[in-house]
Amino acid sequence: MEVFLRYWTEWPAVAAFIDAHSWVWPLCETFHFFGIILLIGGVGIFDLRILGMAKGLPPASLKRLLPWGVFGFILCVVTGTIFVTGMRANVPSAPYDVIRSNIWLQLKLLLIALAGANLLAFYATGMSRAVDDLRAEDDAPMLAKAIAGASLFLWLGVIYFGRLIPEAL
Amino acid sequence: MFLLLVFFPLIIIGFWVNALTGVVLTMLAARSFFSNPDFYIKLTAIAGAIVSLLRLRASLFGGATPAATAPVPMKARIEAVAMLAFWAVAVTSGRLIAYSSSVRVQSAIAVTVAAFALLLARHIAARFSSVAEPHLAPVTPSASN
Repeated sequence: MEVFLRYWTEWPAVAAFIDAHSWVWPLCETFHFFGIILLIGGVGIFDLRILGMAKGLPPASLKRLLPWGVFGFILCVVTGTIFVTGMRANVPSAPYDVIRSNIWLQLKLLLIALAGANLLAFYATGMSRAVDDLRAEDDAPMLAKAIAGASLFLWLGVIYFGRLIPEAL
Repeated sequence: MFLLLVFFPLIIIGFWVNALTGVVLTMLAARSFFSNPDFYIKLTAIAGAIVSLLRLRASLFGGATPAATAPVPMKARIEAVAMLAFWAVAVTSGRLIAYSSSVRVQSAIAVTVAAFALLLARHIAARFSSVAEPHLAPVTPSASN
């Protein structure tokens, strides 16, 4: 198992590409930021409406922002994968060892997984449909508010722990 | 659209949190920042973004309250695009401040090319999807389910 993970978390071609072109790493960093902005901007505004801000706007109208959040998440996953698999270009250790030892990276990945589970819960509990049916002035159900609050907390936590990763490298 | 103004205080709070923490970070390495041209590009972009935001707010919300379904005037669209572009420049130059000048130039070009490639891809995808679904249903507070 360890051999398998060690092999798949390190892509020497990515590290070599980053090494050969000094613009690749800053390009990915910048797009990681753009991704975070789209993710927290799109998802966060929707979460805030469910929590009770901006009553007067039907939540379904703000749901149109969610595809931008998904796009931001994809940008972050792609650039984040490049950071991990090409880590050797910047750090003299194997990505597998860093994943096993860096507590901030572990916490970040844990919170991303929890945010994913939270999103699944939003659909599985029927809250997504319940929110779609809300009119402009309606209050969201308590469970939807709990899920929206968790979403904001988890994504802000992801950003916080992500910022700390280099401190333990 | 008028109702989106409710989020305006959030924008102001976010701006001041960034401005105050930015001043602290700048003071920690003032000499290297003040001699870095990228720092001035970032400040100029932020100033441009603020001006576009104020103009956008004035042109959208300055007069009578428009209907929620009213089309956005072209002038406001241009100001919105300008504001997004200014913030994109501010974020990019902010990130690139940490690098040496040759890397900064190369990276700025790479970011511009990649951003245009993504916008072009989105434009093409939107064209194909609008061919597939010619009548996009407006989102209404549904009573149908």
